[in-house]
Amino acid sequence: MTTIQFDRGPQKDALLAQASKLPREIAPPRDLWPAIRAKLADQAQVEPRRINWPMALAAGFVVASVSALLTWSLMRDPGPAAGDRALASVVATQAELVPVNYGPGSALGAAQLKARDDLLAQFRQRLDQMPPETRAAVIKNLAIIQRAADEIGAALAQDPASGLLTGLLLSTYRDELKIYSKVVTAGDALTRRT
Amino acid sequence: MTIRISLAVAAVLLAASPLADASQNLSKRANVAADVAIDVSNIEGRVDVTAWDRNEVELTASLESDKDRLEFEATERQVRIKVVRPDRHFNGSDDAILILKVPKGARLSAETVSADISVSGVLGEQRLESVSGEVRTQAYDAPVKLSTVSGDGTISGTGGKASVSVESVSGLISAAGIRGSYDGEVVSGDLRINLTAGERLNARSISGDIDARVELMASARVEMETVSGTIKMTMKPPVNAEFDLETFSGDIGACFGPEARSKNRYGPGSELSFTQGSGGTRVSIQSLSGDISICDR
Amino acid sequence: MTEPAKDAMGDEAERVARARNGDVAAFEGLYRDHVGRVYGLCLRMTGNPATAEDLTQDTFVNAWRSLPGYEGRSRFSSWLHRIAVNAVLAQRRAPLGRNEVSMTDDEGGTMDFAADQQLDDATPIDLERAISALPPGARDIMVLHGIYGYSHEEAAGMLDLAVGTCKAQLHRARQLMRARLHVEQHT
Repeated sequence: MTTIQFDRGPQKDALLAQASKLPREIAPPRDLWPAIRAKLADQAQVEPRRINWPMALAAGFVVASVSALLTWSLMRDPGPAAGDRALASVVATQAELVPVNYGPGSALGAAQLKARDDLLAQFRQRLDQMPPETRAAVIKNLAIIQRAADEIGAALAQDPASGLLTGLLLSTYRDELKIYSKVVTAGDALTRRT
Repeated sequence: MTIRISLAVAAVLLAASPLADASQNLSKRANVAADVAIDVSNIEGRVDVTAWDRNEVELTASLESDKDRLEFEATERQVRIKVVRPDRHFNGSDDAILILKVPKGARLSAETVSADISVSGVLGEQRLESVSGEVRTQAYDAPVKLSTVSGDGTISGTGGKASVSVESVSGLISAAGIRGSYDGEVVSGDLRINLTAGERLNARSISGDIDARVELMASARVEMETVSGTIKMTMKPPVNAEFDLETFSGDIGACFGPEARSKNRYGPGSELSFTQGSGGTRVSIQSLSGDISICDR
Repeated sequence: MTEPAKDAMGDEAERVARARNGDVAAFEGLYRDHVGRVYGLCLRMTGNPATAEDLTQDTFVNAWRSLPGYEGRSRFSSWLHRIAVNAVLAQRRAPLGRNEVSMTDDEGGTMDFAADQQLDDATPIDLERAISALPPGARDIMVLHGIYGYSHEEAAGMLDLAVGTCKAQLHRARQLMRARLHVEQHT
């Protein structure tokens, strides 16, 4: 293993000693409170707490991916013909399926919610067409993702600035969308028209 | 996949008529290019693909249900095979067995619901997807993408430098003897990885376990992440790598290097960053509550 | 590190508790008490007053969001500084973020400091200049450890770095500062 020695001579300590005497407080050139207060008010009107920007940024990527996937899927499959609509209506068994809740500290933005809702609608339709063991596996794994999101949310409450936790939460969101998209695209094998 | 049937190309369109009997046994054959693109989809049963030294595609099909219909479309550049079920519903009882022989250089795309997929000797790019069927194939030099929902998957390396990508929700996905790069993602499924001369390894799970046995190139990059699954990595010595291991509430164990230290005052997690040997390879592993272990034996 | 020594510690705990329950006036009190340190931290880490203003705002907005999760296990100021550091680091990673202008090579390439000062007793202004001229990694640890008094372990936690990396960056920061300040003395 590589080891670096950090000797600490008196001169170096003197430099740090000088640095430690610098004033820790520097007044901003203007009062920032009015702007902060306005942001708090905006936030209260929209949603109490939101995921921070790296998450939103990355989630935007996921949204783009899912949108592309949906477009691709729709292009492949023009949709059920009239005679197939009966099949499309057989969606009752998944009525209890609810999207993963990522907790109050990570509310999804409108774009993320829309992407998920669009995908979820197709997912519900296709899930009924899957083998029973697959349906069970999917439902079980969505519960696993919910548990993971809960665990990460609890950890984030302890350490809200953690990049590790934010990254993991984003991963769970991506995994949720991937499950939906997998079922949707897998259903193509049954429903794609020639 | 978009199918283009050009009038300029003498397309062979052979749509088999359903037979009145309970089962259907069919065979098809077409002359094709050495790197023909093959797109096959099935619902239940099996898809077996074997490469041979001829620029021909040969299909032998056995459909249990008299309602299922086999579509076979072929041009020189593209072959499409599909089992069509009129009611478009999985019923769990009517198998369709597709035995396919293809040129070695073929590019293969296969999709099934519960049908197993088995591929042997195909050198071209492969994209294999099954919902609940088992998928088995070999990796040569071309990219291999394997995806399942609940089915298991196995990829065997053959000495070529492949780019392997696997995804599953709950399946066990094994990849052995892979050279080049590996990307794997599961939710509750497990990933078993055996990478030789690895250049890149990315693996991620929510609750599934990741077990990686690796021999890495000097400039390799390894990134692994779980929420609650355990991560175990065994590296072939000598190990020359920079490690960055972090877990929020799990444990870190290593056969070499310093001991992990408490991460911060907020919780029980720990982290471990160090350089082993001359460095070069970079290893980053993270988890929420899953344990992390690295070893060189 | 030293904290604002006031009876205000008790006041602060009360303000935090009230702010957690949504009392904006209490949160304004916390802002007034801490804004100088947060702005100072952001200014020194970014070297850009406008960016520092934005990040100071972000820090307090993020703190307001995160207050329900603050359990008082760390000092409020440390918790707030951690959020500020995270805001700075996030801003640096933003592809279209408010990029600061750095006069240094982050990879540690050769830097040509003009011999513009002859200083054995560096003035605060000289020190500030020398710190602002550091590459971001070295500057971060010099600010957190050198000025704000966080231990290597605490600074490493804030910066999401290994302790050894922090020590190496501090070593580098001192070398670069000495070069700039022309304090070429024994090591």
